[in-house]
Amino acid sequence: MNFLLLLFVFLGLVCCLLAWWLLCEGPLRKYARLLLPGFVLLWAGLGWQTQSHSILADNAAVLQDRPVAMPANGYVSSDECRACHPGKYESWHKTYHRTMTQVPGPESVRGDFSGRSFDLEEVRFRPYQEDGRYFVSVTDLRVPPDQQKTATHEITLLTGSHNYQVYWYETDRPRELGQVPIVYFIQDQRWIPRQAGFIQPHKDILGDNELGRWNQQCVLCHAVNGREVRDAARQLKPVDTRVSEFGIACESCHGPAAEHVEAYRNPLRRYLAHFGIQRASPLINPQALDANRAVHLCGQCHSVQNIRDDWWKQGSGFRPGQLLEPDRQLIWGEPEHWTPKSWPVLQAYYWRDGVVRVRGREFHDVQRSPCFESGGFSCLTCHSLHGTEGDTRSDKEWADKLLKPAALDGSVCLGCHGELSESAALQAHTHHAADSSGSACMNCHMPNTSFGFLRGMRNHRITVPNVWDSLSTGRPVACNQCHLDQTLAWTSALLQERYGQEKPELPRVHHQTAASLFWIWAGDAGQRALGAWNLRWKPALEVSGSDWVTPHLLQLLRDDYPGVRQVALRSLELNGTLAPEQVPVYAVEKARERAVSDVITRWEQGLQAATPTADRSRLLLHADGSLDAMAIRPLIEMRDPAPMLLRE
Amino acid sequence: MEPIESVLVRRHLVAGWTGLLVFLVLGLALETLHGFKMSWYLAADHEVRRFLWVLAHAHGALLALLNIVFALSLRQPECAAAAGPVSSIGLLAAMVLMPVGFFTGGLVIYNGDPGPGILLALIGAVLLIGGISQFVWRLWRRAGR
Repeated sequence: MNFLLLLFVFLGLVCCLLAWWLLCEGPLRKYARLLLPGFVLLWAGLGWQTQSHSILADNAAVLQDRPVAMPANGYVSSDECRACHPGKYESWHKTYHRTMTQVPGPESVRGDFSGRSFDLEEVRFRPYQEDGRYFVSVTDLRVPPDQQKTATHEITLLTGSHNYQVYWYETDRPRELGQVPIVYFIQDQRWIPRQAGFIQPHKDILGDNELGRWNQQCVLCHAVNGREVRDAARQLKPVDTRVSEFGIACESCHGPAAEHVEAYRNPLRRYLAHFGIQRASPLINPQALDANRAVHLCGQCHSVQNIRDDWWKQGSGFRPGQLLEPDRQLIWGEPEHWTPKSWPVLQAYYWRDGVVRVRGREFHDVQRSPCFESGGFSCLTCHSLHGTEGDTRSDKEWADKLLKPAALDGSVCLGCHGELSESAALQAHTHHAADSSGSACMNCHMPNTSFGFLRGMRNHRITVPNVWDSLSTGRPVACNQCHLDQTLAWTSALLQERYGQEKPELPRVHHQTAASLFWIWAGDAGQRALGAWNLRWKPALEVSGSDWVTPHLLQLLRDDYPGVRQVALRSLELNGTLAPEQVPVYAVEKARERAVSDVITRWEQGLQAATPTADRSRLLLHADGSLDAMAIRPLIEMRDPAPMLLRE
Repeated sequence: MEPIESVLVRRHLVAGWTGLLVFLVLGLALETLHGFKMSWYLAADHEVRRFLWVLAHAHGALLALLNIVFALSLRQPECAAAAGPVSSIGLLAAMVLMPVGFFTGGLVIYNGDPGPGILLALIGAVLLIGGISQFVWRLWRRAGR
């Protein structure tokens, strides 16, 4: 395209020079008047050729058998926004929202497609590139060698670019995508089974290719104006999934822009608006929305919800600036919303008191936060999709959580709680040194009790730490997420002494066992994974020490849940106990057990040389630092054996 | 009395070379802004300013060259005969109004739109087209004889 444009300009210049020469000096001066229109026609023809070429390129995209991006229903795509809002466009362009869905290419693919093959659960995978295209070959090694077949999938769409990247391929059903069973974990730079990226019971790695999930679910949030163009008579397959733009773009938050773009094509209208004389067709500015509508705007994706059944006809009916209902049915997690059948589903999202326990559903917690209820507080109080003027962080640091600088040091909280801005007052409030992690607002009031991307994440229900909630829900209390080595009884006593909180009657185990270890050994898979992550959280290890966590993490490598094993493995790699890929946590059970036993034996041999330390029964350790298996057994017996699935 | 051709030649040579100096210095200034990474010039929010000031530099330098070329072409009898007051004023006015218009249009910007100063560039463009049109028209007429 650029080459054609250059050629076009070059030929135009040649034509002009030639014409000038003919007019003034050339031998054909008498024909000059005839030749000049000829050159103009030639130039125009070239321009038309260039234009037709681009039209053909768009048609080629439509012919591909994957969901396609075609502006419709008043959506025009971010390309139209750039000309008038270059700064906003550029800041959005740096976000991971933009790259949530992409077509594969050198700029978008984050996985290792070098052609190296590897085995996960006795299945051989080889991601590779060929002629600029991306493939994953899959060979099931569990069948006899003479019956083994290799399936090769060409990648046609990607999900994610920040934490992990998921790869989709075309299937024999038009525009319906299947998912490669491995995902690339970007922060760890490794391939893992898809199921290990989430907290869910183990299942066959090749058991499910998630056929159609992108078309039915992902499309709603990971693209703009996702919809399915179906045969109205049959209303069934084949589906023709279309979006207006891949990724989460301008119109996801500002609404469909066709009318706005059309109105402001007229420069007179633009200048009338610039001078404040007349405004035509304004788009939604989320910053100008009231807090409730701003939260609903983010909640279109960051909530637990059902969408109406006929969404596929025209896409979502929700538009920025509106409330989610009635287009969406919001699903809340408080006990009053439970039905006899609903809790098994709800527990995939919520703790027992309705606080969200997975990432990406923060809407419900924000709505139930006292800061929101007292007015003015919304997602945009702390987050900004376009950065903040004067922010000294790198683009990457800002894009990680899209936090405003004031949200990082808690100064955003002081907007309402100004009485704590003095160090002495803060210290009196927190009972921790003013510059310590114990005085950081978020560590107490937004603890890491949500889980996602195999790590702990901030809970968005701004709460006061209390042991009662922890006892009834199993959700870690903020104090014990730093004081990992202390019991719930210790926390309870301090909260009573310092804040006058009523002290609950605690079972004996909470007087004897560190709370973090109680959740790790007696908790469900979600608590175990969160606990395994917590054992590598720097602020906590600085307070609680790190010399006791390794034996617990080593044991978690034996967990039934691949996700829990993955979190424990990462924690052990980060604390230096294991080298990368030292333990094949995705091998079959026997091989895995052998490797884990070897590692534990070697680690315990190292202990014998060490000096025994004081009584460590609270940490479920013997004096020499080895794990007290007898103390752990009753805790394991307390576990709820029901399968656990966390729906991030 | 000095012939009109000589007056025009001198006027366009002086104006052209002076303009070339001014707008090359402007180019150097813009490069300096790049060197010091001035955000009010380089940030995406100010993309329009950067674009307009580059246009001011480019148009100024090119129009200065055009004035010099015009002066030199007046040595040709046919060109000298074709040159009229509109051509001369058009070229001189364009060399001033267009770059000044682009520059002042970039001083105050509204998102993707230039400030009101851009109107000067428009006036300069009209004068330039008018001046060249007169010159070309007269050349054609003479060529047709």
